[in-house]
Amino acid sequence: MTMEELAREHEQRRAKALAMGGPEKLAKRREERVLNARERLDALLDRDSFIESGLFAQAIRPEVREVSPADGKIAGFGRIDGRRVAVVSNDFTVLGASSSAINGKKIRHVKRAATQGGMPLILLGESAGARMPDRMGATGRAMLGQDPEEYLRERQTPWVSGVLGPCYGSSTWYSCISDFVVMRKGAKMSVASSRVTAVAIGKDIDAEELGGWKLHATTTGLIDAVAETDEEAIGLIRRFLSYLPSHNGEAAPKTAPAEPSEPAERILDVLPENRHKVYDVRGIIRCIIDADSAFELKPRFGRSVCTMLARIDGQSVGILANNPYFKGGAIDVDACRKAVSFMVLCDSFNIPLVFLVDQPGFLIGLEGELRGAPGFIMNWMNAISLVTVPKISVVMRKSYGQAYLNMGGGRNSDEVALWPTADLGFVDPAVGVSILHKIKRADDPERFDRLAEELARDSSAWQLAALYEAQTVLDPRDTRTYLINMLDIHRGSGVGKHRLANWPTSF
Amino acid sequence: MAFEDILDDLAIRRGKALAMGTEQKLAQRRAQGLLDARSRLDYLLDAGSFQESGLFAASDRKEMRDRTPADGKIAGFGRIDGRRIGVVSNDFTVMGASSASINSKKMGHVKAAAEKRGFPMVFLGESTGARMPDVMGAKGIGGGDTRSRYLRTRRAPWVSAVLGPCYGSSSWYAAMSDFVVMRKGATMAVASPRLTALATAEKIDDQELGGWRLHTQSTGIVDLATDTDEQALDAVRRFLSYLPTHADAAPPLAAVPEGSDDGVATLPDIVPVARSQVYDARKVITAIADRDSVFEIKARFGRPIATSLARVGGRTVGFIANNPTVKGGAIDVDACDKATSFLVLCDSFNVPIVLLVDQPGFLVGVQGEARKAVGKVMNWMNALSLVTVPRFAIFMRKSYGQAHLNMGGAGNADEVAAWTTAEISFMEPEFGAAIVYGARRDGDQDAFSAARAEMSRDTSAYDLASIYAAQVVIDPRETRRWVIDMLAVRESAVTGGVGRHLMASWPTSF
Repeated sequence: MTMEELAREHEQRRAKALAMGGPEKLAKRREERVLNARERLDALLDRDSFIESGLFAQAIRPEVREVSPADGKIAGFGRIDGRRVAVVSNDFTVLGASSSAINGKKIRHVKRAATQGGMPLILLGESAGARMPDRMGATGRAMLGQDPEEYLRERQTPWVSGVLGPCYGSSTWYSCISDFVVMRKGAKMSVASSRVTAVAIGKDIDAEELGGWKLHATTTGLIDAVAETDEEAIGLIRRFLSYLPSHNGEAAPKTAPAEPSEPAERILDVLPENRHKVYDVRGIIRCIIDADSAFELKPRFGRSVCTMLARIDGQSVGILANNPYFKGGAIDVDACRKAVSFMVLCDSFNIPLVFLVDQPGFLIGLEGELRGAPGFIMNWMNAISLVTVPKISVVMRKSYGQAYLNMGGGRNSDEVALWPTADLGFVDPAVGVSILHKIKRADDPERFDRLAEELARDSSAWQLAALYEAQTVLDPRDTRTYLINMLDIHRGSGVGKHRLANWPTSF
Repeated sequence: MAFEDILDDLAIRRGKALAMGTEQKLAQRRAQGLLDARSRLDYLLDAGSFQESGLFAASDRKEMRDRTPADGKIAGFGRIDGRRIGVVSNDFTVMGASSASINSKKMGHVKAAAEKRGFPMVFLGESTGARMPDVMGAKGIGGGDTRSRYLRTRRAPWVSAVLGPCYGSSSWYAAMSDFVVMRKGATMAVASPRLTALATAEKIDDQELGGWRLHTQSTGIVDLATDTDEQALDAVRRFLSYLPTHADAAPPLAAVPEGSDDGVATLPDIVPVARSQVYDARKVITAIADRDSVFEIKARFGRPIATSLARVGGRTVGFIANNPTVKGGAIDVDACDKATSFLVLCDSFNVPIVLLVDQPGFLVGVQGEARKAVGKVMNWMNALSLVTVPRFAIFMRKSYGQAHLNMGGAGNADEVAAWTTAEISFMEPEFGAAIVYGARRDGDQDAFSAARAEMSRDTSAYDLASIYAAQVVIDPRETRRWVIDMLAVRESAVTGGVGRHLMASWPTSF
């Protein structure tokens, strides 16, 4: 063949590979307003930054070689906001983006490059699971086992997953071991598809119930955010990464500082004077952080704790706040799990933690005990003890019992500030009177109230500050300035020790 | 004071401290068949080995000082089977063994010594929780340095016995321990039923809130339930016998009892060749292990998997076996958590792992998905990838799907043996026939048979061995010999059988 002919063949092969699963399937996706695998890459990456790896890869079985462009998983490298990333985009139009020997090699290749080169890995998931019949029989097993560390997560660089269609098998596994998972409504994620599940358990099953966004956003907590469209999901991935360093050996990026969207005075409007009244802590956070920097994770899960990436003076911070708006702020098992997974994220990627405290204790009762509440409370304590990024704790109102330690009290944070409204005791003063003096308010309201007031006095901010258990008592309106100073004082090199880096990925 | 008087004073003070709470309270316990805190120590420790620390400690509240011998938590050092341990025994007859500033210092002291010098901690739990009013107010809550109180780094084994009501720190230590035994009738919860009732305004039964059934079956926090204090303490001694005293030593070697080689001959009678027939995998473990050496962990929890400490040829091993008698061996969420926590235990204390495989896959369905099945499957894979003790997988019969990897297949074990009865594939052939070929048992018989045959092709032990995904095919009766040989081959001569403990700081509940 002449060089010209070779060039022509090259062009033809390239065009065929870029055509993915054919016009018919691609048209159907467009009708459904779902982006195809390459359009997703266009939306995700900085313009013209994609460098493909494995465009000419194909299935290993000869009979499907010609119908498997890129073997169904498009892999390569690109940039987001100028920073290098590695990416795999599942092409559902090619054999359902099922996992096979060759595309497994592609994933491994870019994964390794991401870890070695210190860049985030992004997995755009949409896959039918393992390819049949490739994976059947002992020989199918041999195609596995190429990588005994396939599902080992050591958090050297951020991993992000988009669940953008049916996700079974490896797309599901990678989502579980990612630091951030966004799911488009209508996508599915479960161990096995509803079809396989129906065959196995002998009855029909609704795919949405088995693995839809509601399940994962509210019940399992396996996903961090929900999006209406592919474009929105991809926008959230870009946004998430903007808070993180490219790898754990560098500090989180700094952006231009911005004043909060709400003035500090607003804090006094949001926080009710009556400590039995609830409020949404996010209203207070807005008065402290840079405008438009709030990025809440798992907003529908374990809601009595609010976890949020944000910026203060241009610096990334992780805010872990009690939210009295839900369950009066009492911390339930899901909230414990959410807090632990957030601390693991922040500590692994050098993001300082700010605790905003207003909690009446753990939600006690049968439901929590049935789910092993003591174990999850201790997981949290273990995690906070291992955190090496700066931890700053601001006690806004009440902080009772064991949960006082979980929220950074008792030397579990580097600095503790109290608002004058802080109330530090073992239990609510009214409960304390009942336990201590064995009387009910109905018995003798006057005496009861007097005793409760005594207890409350002994648990004031001033008492704790006098013991130097807190380093300062703050005017709430000075909180932002205080945090800017303390974060600066405790920043050090900006790189922590990452002792939670190999912790499990689900709690 | 004359010397004599001084020594008399010492004897009087000692006698008073050793007397614990009131005689009435002690008599009441005896009547209930419960040991008191000091009798428990006598029973637990080698005779005469207890060295008390803090006999003369008392409450720091003046008005309570004379009523708080040892401040309600008896602490010190002793020996079990000649090996050093640290111990805290809660004395419920003194202020309900409630936690306060002085007895917390005692616990901290013994714990720190155990951590620093490398010996196990045993917590005998029975406590009403934090002492009131000591912990109330800013002073109470802000007292003392608590920075690493609840940090678990698994430098040495921790064991908890839950021997009465356990709230507050007794339940926290139990949650963080490597082994938890509970006497039936004891309770463990975040807060006592009384506090819970006050806070939630609902009347609550203490057994329902934190009894042995809840913790052995639903939460899995408790590894074993016993009928008496004595049985619980026996279990503590027995558990520790399998482990080294700290993470930097190999587990102790034991003598191999006579007749230990006889059990394997029964394996063909225990495990039916037909994969649709079930059997109890625990019998397989017993047949392979040294006689009377099997100690099952979490027998009532996540039962599609059995986890047992045992010995093979005198060496401690951890068995993880699929158990087809429960849910046909389909692995549910609890079984995933159980497997993960057992991997962490074994790897942290240099115990090699033997995976006995016969499983149809994960238990799929809405219930599991709602409990984050996929996340739990990955926790297990993460753990298995981080294990540095030797891992041996034995494929006894079927092994399908992703769970094949979780059970040590596809490069996730250091040595793999397949029994002659092994069958390895992606899924149960009948399901495969339906999903890949659309052929069903109740449809066209010829098409179904052909599809099923196609799905069953290339799935034998020899097929696995031919691609070197198994290093050997063995007769089931050769299993014990193979395990003994591989333990010798794979024990690191470089470290003397000490692993790297990459999961030493992992969480303690899953």
